[in-house]
Amino acid sequence: MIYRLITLVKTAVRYTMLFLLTLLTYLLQVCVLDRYLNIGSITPNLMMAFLAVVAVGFGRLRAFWCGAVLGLLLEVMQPSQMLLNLLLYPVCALFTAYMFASKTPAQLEYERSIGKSGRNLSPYLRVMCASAVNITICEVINLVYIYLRGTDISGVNIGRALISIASTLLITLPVLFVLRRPFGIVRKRASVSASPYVEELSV
Amino acid sequence: MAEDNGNDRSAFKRSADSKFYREELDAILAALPTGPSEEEADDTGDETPPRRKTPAALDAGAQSEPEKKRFSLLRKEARPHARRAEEDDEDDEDEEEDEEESRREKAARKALKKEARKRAKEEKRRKAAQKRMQAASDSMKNSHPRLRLFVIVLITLVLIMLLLLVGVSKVLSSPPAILNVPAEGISAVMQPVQSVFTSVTETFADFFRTIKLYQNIEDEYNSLREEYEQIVYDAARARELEIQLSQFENIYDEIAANANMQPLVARVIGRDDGNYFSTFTINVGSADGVEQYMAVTISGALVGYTETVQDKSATVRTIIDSEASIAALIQSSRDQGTVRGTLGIDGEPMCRMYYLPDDHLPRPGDIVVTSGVGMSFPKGIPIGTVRESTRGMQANKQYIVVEPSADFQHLEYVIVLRYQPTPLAVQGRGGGSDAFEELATARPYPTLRFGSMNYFGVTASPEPEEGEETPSPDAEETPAPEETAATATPPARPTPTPAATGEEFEYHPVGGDPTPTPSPSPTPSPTPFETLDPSAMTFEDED
Repeated sequence: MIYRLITLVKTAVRYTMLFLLTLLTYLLQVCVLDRYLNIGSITPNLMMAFLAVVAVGFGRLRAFWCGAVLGLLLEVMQPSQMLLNLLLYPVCALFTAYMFASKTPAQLEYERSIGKSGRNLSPYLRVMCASAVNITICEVINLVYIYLRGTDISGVNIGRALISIASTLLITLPVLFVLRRPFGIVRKRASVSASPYVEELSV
Repeated sequence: MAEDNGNDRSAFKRSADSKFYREELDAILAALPTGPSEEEADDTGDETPPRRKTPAALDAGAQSEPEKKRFSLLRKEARPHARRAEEDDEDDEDEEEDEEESRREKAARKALKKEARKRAKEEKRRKAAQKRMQAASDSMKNSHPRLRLFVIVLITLVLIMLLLLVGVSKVLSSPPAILNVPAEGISAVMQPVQSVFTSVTETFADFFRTIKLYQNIEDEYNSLREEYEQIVYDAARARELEIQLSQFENIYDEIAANANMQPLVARVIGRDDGNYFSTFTINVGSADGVEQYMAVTISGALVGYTETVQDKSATVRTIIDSEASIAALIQSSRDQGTVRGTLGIDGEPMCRMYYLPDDHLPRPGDIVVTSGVGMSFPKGIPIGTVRESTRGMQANKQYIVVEPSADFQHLEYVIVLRYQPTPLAVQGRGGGSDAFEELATARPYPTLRFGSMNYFGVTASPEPEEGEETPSPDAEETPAPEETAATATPPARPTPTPAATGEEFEYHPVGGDPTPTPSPSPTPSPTPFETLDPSAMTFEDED
């Protein structure tokens, strides 16, 4: 009984920590990065980097939650284009989670049975790819939006998009290395873990 | 092959260090018959086959005497060299070897035991960790699965509802109040949080900015100092340019007033102010139309005359130089004389006017100007003022002291008057005819005439005819100055061919009287006043 209570409290604490981390990401993006860290008025997107780490470390559900919270905060506190942030962040989080989240043991076993390699790629590589996909989707949608508003897409716009992608990938690295252990992205030794599931996830 | 007491050791298989370990002994023992013979078995009546024991079991202590005996025999047979070494009491070297071998064997066994214990501990730890992980995962999966599912679904639904409500409130132009509640709630919660976070980050940013500012203070100080020095320099330069501008303005006024004399502004580029001579060099020369014995003025006063002219420069001898001698006249009384410098005489930067008529006594403050006689000086250039009316005496010549108007200590720019007096103008002073006639030489050289032959002269000087007036300066009252060795007036040089204009230009000083008139009378009287009897005058002796 006590053990179950402790487990409940631990789970609640974990969810609260995840929510606070999401909030912190939003505050850092809005209050710090926009003012003090930009390359030619282009700010890296810390929120997309965070969503990539969550998608790889936690899976689809938690990634969707974090994306929804970020979208809500941006839509309410920093409205720019109507419903753009509200839809973009949760959708990007879900999409990258589907693509890059860790596979379950059942899926791995199935892949091995059909002759595939049946293993997960390096989590670091998956996080970087997820971050790149997130920010690329965001920039493409923005470019399409401004094109539909009547602005011609020139090399300048494409250059700025590329700079945004590169800066976001750069900022993903420190976020990944800071959050990898709490998020269970560190690969543990095979001798200690009991099952492949435990090997990938520690939450 | 090594032999030991007649036995060949190589016949026995041994390990690398010539020792038999427990495992090897086990194999050897396993191959040996361990049970009693048939006779012994029949005697004892024991039908159960004897149990083969390992050396560990044999060493365990639960051994009977026959077993012990048999074990020792077996040991002996397996290691005959050892037995022989034990039996041979006289072989001390073999005994020592055995002891060393036994020590090494013990150490090896200890190390093996340690390693085995370590492995056992690790194995235990790993198994305990596995158990814990398994328990945790089992507990996670098994504890409140329904509650867990309920919480997940609830959170997801709440978030989706919030997204929908906020989205609809944004889409609708005038949404109902209830749709704005989530947005307002989020805003109400996040705004103070965001404000606090922003203020905290600004505090940190200001702190780091202050540190950077302190680091940049030195750079800023240096840059400000450079800027200040530049400003000071610019101010000094502006002041200098202002002074030069005022000088140029004065010069320009003077040039404008005397434009007909072809004035030329020159800069003083060298000075030779000694105790006896006073000359300076200017940066104009014959290439600029400057010639010898041209007047050099500044601020409306005569400074000197050009003496040596090169292509691009010229030397000017000042009027205070004792070598200088300039024909002058007193403006009020029109008394003519010669002005010479006193630098080489008494070291004073003053002038003396000689050859004044004895019957006239100039007053202090009378202006002395050039008379235009002799050198090609325009007439009327102020030279100075009479300092005192007392006459001095030098080498039997009377003089009056004239204080020059020009400031010889601060000469920077001077004006060269490229004045060329016309022959008519020169001749016109004596009221001669309009036709040009070559002037007679000042000193006619003698000729001897014997009959019709002339000696000591190619051409005879025209004999003065009676009644013909010799050309002389305009001043009738003053005699022509006597030429002595002291008065080294420059020899009469042939004047260059002038333009036959017939005009005589008079110098116009600019800026009023260059020196104040010390006389209390408002205007100097043009007519000479009553002169004193020369016999009543006093003379000053030269020191």
